[in-house]
Amino acid sequence: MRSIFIFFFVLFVGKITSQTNFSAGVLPKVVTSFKMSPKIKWVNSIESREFFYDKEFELTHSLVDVSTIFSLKTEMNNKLNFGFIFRFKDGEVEYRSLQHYNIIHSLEQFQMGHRFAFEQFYDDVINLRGRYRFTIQRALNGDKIDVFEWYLKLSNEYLWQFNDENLEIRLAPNLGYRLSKRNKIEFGVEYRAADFVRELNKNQLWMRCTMYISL
Amino acid sequence: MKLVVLISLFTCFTMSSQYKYEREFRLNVEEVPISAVQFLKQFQFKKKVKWYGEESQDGKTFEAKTYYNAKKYSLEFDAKGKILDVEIKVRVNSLNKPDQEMIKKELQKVFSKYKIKKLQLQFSGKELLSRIKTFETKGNYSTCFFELVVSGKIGKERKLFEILMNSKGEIVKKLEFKILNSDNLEF
Repeated sequence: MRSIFIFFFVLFVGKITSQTNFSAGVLPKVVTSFKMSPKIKWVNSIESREFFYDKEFELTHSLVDVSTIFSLKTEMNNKLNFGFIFRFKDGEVEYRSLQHYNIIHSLEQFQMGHRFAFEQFYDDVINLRGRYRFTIQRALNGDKIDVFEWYLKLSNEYLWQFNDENLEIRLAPNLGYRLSKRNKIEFGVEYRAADFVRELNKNQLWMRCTMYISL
Repeated sequence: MKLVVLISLFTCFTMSSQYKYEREFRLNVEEVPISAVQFLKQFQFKKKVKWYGEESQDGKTFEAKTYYNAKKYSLEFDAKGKILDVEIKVRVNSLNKPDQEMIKKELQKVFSKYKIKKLQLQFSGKELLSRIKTFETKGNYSTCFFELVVSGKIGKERKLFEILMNSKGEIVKKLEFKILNSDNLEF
């Protein structure tokens, strides 16, 4: 089993580093949510993107994403989210609107999340993107994620650019820690393979650190 | 005025106590009271037994979880290691038809719509071991309680509840689950 894993790992590392468009960096992110009523939450986030490898090893700042989202609980486990993302890059601001439909399942030992998303990028023309993300997490101690306990989270996302007709796939394993009743922190990596339809020519590997704060 | 304050405090207390609170953490067998470990030996479980400490509105307890005859067993002990109850996870359609009907009828009285997420037979009291053996050999569970996890609609809102029902169908305990914050699965 271990030799199979090492074989695929070496194959994977060899494959992505042999690509000309390989880059790597860090994605620190803070998400705050504020309950406005039993059914409505206001969620804001800020995420920075810093490269440490892009054709060569060098620390460069890429962009900052700021989002503001209203989350409406439609059923016990279902939510509709509407919001905007403002991307600050090279002294300019890019605008994006988004709509999410989230379904959360709580099983005995696992929690699963399905996110169906639709996004509009406002440029000279409006670019459209559809995305689906599946996330699963479980406590490392007991059946539920209690305070001061670690958990594992794995997510897999598929993003389709309607205008460019291109696919991007993301895979992100994370290790999380519940700091208090309301706050969590997660550390992990995220592998992104883009331009999937034409040829596998854009690979990114991100180190993630996300803080979730519920106010 | 004092009466209003008292009524408000009482209402707040009773409302908050209707929520299910539970914190569970893994334990090594050495951390469990010896009487609980000895009690468990009577069952001669072949599968691995996992021990947990549990803090809930009922106080601190110890819980052993394992599988027996392809069914999930949870055995709960008090802080001194005395057995409190044994819960065995079963499917609703494995119950006798009259019991299935009784549960359905009782839940329909409480909820306009519902879905049973989990059902456990809860054995407690005297002659626990022999009653469980009778259940395993003859399928007789007539002396047990039914512990249900139900997603039910009251008014316009659907919520998750833990319900304890006796063998006559009377609801003896109803606790609402607090929905976990799922921000990290959504954003």
